[in-house]
Amino acid sequence: MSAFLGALRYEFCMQLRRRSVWVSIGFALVLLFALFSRSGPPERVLPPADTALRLVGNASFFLPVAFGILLADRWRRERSLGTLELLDSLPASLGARLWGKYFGATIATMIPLLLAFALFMLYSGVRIGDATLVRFLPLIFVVVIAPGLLFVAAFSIACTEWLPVPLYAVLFTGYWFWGNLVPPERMPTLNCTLLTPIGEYPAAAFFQHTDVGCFNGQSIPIALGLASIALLLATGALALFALQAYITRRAAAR
Amino acid sequence: MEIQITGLTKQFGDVPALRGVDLTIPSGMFGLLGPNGAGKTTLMRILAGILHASAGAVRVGTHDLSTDAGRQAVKWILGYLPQELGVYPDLTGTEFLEYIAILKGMRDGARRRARVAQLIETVGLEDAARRQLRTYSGGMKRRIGIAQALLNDPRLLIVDEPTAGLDPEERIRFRNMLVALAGDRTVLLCTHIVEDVAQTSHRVALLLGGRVVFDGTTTGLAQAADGRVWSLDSSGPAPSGDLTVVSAIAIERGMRYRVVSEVPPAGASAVAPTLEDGYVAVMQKRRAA
Repeated sequence: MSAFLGALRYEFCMQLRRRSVWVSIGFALVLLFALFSRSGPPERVLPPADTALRLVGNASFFLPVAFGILLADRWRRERSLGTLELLDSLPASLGARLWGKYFGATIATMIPLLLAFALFMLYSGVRIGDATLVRFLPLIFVVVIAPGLLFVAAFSIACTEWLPVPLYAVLFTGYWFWGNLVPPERMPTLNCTLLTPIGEYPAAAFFQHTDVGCFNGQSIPIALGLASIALLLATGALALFALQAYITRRAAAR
Repeated sequence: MEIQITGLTKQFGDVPALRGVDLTIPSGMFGLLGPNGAGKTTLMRILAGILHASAGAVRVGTHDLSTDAGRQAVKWILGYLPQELGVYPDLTGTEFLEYIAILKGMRDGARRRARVAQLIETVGLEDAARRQLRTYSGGMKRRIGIAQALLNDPRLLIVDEPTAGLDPEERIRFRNMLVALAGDRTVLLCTHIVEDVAQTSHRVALLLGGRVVFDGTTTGLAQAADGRVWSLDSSGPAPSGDLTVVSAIAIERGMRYRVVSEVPPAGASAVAPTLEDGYVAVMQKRRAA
């Protein structure tokens, strides 16, 4: 357990200190401001939580893309830095190091991301006349945003064992728009399924946010919201377990 | 703690890296010499539990390295400095050592911090300890590497080219530190700097092409060049033929060459062999064989 906590702590520190984490998320935020600064007020008055979720939906166009890409080098860099040989000679298990890295780097990247969501909601809230909309963010972040981010983070760390980071970044960006934003009636997509990381199901189930996106006002039971969260977390965990099993097997064959 | 290596073979695909190595490494300092590609690093990695042997047996004390349990047990008592040590540029020297200490299973925070502070002082990095590693020079990174290897007060210390990148004073300091440490533990010093072995180790093995071509004392290795080391002053061209020029120094009227050769070059006089001469003589004999 102490190796896991140690890895978590120091991976957290290292990721939080990366200038590119702050710069990239800042850049995504500027893009968001540029894209939504000309949009007018909503056509009709919505409940504040619904409005907050709409803003979160808008921010989710870009912010999680930067998040996924910023995590993509975390596992791979052990090789490029040349730290693997030392780490492999230590008694700490691969699992403790891998999961510690996952949680440490993910939580660290969530901090500027949360800040960016907050700034965007504050800015948009002021523009539409309700600066207090940001008060919904903590709950929305935990229930709607975080499960998808944990899912994305797991794949960003795992996939780069096999894919070069730049290629992963391109594929991930494509996946994000295809899997979250393309309407299912246009082409087969993961959008509007329980595996949508943008959080359509939790938003609909827990906040009755159903008038935009996939559900056309149809109410979604809490169980489906929970199922979506569980499925996202389990799929992410599966990706990491697959990586762990692969590396263990490879180490045994060395 | 004695290391027993029997018939150790390691293949990378079709390429043999170690070919039936038999070696006993007793407690104390032990030097492992050999040219690049001799198999030294492969042997180190097997001893550190990073690589698996293709055939043969390795026992470290009572631990059998062919089993997962044996490898894991050795990792708890091991200090390892790889040849190419990577560090995290975003951590400070202190943080890096703290992190490695945690991964080495040092759970008591107060003792861990005290040990890190002590080792930072030992390697002379007090002034740089709070700086990020990205600002460290190559020598400073090497010293951090040495400190991390010593964190858990290892019973078995394996250091691969530890003095590469260190200035002469640092090298001497580090060599003395290794000798002091070696009292009650096994220290395996793997290098191609013969001087480091000459100044620290009583026992030495020489690897060439994945085989042990010499195993004995440093005196014994030097004696391998008995009657084969010559000094030659010349103002003409450098001596050539079936010989190795160990050194060439400019003197008042030409050059003074130190030569290892079975046959004395014309005009040369015999000199007492050093460990380096012994190393060269063994290599010459093996290549000729």
